[in-house]
Amino acid sequence: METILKMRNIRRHYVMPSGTVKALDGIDLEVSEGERIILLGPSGSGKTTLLNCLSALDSPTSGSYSFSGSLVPSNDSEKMTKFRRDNIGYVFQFFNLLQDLTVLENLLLIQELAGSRDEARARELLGLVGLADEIDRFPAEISGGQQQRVAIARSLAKTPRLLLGDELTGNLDSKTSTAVMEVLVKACEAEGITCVFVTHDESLVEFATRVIRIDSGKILSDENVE
Amino acid sequence: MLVLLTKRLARSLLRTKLRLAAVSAMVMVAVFAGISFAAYAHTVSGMYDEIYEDSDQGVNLPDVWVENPSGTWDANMSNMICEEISNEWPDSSLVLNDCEPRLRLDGTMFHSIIEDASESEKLVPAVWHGIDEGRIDRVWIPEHDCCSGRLASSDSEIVIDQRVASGMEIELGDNVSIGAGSGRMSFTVVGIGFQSNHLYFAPEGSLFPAEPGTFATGYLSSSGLERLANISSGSSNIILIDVLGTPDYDIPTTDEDEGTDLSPLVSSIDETISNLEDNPSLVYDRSQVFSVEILRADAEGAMLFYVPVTGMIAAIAGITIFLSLQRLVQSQSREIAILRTLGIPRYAIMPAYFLMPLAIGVIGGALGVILAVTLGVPGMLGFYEEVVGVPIIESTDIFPLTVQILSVTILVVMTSGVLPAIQASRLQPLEIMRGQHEIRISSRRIQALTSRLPATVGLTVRSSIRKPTRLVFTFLAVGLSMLLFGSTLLMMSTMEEITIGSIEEGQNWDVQANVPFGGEGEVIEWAEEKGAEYQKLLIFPVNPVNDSRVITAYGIEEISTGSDSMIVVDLRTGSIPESGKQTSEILIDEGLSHFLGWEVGDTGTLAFGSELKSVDIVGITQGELSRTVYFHRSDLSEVIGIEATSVLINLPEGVEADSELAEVSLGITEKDDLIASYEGMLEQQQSFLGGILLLGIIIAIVVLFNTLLMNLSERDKEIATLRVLGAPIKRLGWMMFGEHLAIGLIGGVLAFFFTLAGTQAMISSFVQWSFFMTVKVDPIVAAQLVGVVVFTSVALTPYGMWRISRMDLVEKVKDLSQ
Repeated sequence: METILKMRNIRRHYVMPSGTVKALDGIDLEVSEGERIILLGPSGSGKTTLLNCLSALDSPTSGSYSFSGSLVPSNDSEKMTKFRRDNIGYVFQFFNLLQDLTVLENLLLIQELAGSRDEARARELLGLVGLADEIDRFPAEISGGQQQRVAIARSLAKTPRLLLGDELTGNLDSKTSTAVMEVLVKACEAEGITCVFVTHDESLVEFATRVIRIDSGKILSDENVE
Repeated sequence: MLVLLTKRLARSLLRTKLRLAAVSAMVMVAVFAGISFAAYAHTVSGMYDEIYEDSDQGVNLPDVWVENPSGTWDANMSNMICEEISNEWPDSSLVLNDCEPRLRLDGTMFHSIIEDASESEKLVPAVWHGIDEGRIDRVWIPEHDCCSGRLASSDSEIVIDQRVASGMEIELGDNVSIGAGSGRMSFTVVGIGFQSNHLYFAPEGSLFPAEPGTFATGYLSSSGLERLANISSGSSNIILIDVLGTPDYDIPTTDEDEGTDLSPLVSSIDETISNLEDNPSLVYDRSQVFSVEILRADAEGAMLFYVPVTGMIAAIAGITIFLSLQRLVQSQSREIAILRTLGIPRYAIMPAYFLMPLAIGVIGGALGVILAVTLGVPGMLGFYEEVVGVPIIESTDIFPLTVQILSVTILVVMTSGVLPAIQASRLQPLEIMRGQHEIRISSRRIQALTSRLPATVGLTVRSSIRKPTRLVFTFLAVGLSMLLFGSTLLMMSTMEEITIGSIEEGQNWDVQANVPFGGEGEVIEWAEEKGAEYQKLLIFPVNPVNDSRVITAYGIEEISTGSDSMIVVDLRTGSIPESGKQTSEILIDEGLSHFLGWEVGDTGTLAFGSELKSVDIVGITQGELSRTVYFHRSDLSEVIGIEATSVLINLPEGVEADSELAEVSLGITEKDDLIASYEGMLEQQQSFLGGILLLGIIIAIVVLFNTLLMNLSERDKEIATLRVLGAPIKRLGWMMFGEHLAIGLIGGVLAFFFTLAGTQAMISSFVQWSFFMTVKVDPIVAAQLVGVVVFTSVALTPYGMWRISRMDLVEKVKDLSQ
């Protein structure tokens, strides 16, 4: 498999009144295309910071991060936004769907903002996550699990190369979590998308191809599970 | 606990310092404007009562006037009229106190001007009164810096109106050269004062005070005026009738007849005069004396408007506070839910939401009182003295007014906390914790309407109307503040149109020379000598039948809507009258149509004294302030037996009106002077109206910014989501621009209609027989109104974009995951 991203000695330090906090402290990471990685770790371990750096929401204090062989922009808000737009899909814990738009329109909006509206693909993705019959409903009219599936479809709507999720099942019960993850895996496999998910939930390991444990800003373990 | 909860809310509010300062400033403005207007209204209202009072200090304003518009009565006739009025006095509760014949004539003041070491003479149109010691309608020389001297006692003395003295720099002891159609004479100034007919110092036919040096009035002894006009001793053209006390009269701005005793008396005197005199005469009460009526209407208007104006600004402040508190409840819902979960009762949550508006009201109110006392009240009274030119002898006690205004304002502002307080107390902790209070289903209808649009546009439209209550209140507040701005703008444009516009476009003459009856020949001779074009003009007062209200009848040589005529009529409907018809064809102004219900095709009857004349109404004109009918001069002349009262002259290049013309005229009006007067007046009002204009815009900006800022901050989560998902700032900026443009356009158009309706209501509440106007909707004004709101709204887009660019997405993602 081809390497999609490569991080070398990534550090992210925050200067606080109480001293410097080393959220990431020399992370080395290589991810191949099609991998599904689960990032596990206790609160404050640095997993969300790593996810932020991966998505170019945050810029590392030092180190290098390349994606598809090119350096990922840092400290330039618009270039970082463009990188996300072109490459990244993001699923939040609380779905964060736009309440004024229907299920279908939530997907179309993302496509329009990325510059390419493709309604057929949006419908296809909603079919893929099992929501073909709910496309004209508003988010408030469907269940939490369904909303998260819409969020997944939305994150895939502009065909990202890397899909990131932060505690994406944290707001769902275990049965719904499993259903959502199954949908996600199915969709990512169908689209050939690489995934990195942050979670506390050890039970999600069964959906991963690789599990990375992190603590105090360092990778403790990195193992393939398939 | 209450203290802690209030402290908590206060700290939250203090975080939005700009908004807090803005609403406090609005309260301040409401109190400031309220007290200033109230002080003005009460002061001028009380002042007129004192000036007109039947006392040693007052001038003893007459109760009934009898006027001879077509000539003068000699001494015998004058005395006979008074005797006959006394003899025929009706069976009434009103008792005749006095009857005094007077002479009042138009004329000219020859005013010397020294410019660049050369002396020139300006011909100033004037009105001269013959007033001896007098028991009725005395000359008013108050004990004030403005005035000095005594009444004219010899036939070479004159009291000059204070505005003339200050405008032309005339002092006691100076000699002035004046005329009244029979050459010129010199008179010594022995007094500087005022007279009830000219307290509001506007030339006849004008709504606005004259510019200094363009109009003169003087009060001579009876013998002095008789000598000036070469008229026999004891002649008069006005009879002043005073009854004991001050009876009520019919106020023109109300529908009811307040003059239940006086109106029958006026009719009875009218009948007496008709039986005595063939020539048409006018009999009327004080409502038909322009100066008296306009000052009453001004005081009444100020009295009527200061409470709504204060209430309006306070309401805008109240709406802004209400919206801010509502937003605060929303943003603090979790805190409130936690407090409620911890056992804080509902009633403990509420008081803080009442106390905050109270605090804002007290702080803003106190600042408003300080500003009003130090600047507003002196400024308003000073403005009045400057524009109207009457000194404020005694101003009203503002303490009770301050208490009244402050109470009303604080009450209005406090009301704004009621709903947020109830909403805060009714929040359900469980729903909040589950986040259910934030879940709402968007409108299916709006979704259907916008479903075919791109999702970005659909979202823009739906976001704009996401909070309909807030939007409605915002539009209401913007509409109210634009009412201040827009009505001022509309009034300014309407006033400019009916003053300068109507003269520039409707009057194609250079000089109007008033002539004594039968004296037009000498003026025409002068015009022919100078090679000037001229037209005779006949202006005569008439009445509707059994109605003492005065209509000015114009007899025009050539009635036309084109610029070829010296007087151009602005025909709203109908056609131009034809001359020489058995029943004269006339045009009436739209005010007359409004008050008498006359329409095109109707046949009306006009009273020329005792003679009634049927007329066919063939058209309705617009743009006249006072009630007007237009005849062909030949038709009108046939009825009243006079050829002309004025001659309109178009001067050839290089020719000017000179003293030769002035000496054979009863006053000369130059068109350029008239325009300069109006321009001067409008300019004088610019700073005052400009202040109101600015105030309206600032309030509208504050209200709109407040709502849009709340909308923006509420959408942080949504925008952060889009940013994380890769939405570029530029694209979000366009969406925001579209939303602000839509809100601006809707708000602007609504504000315009609000303003139009408000201004129309305002104008219709003070229009009356003596001055009627309709709002002219100038498209430029409409565009300005809408433009201001759109611009204000759209101007927030760069701020919104700047806010997005500063958004810490890492922090936002944390929020999104919590």
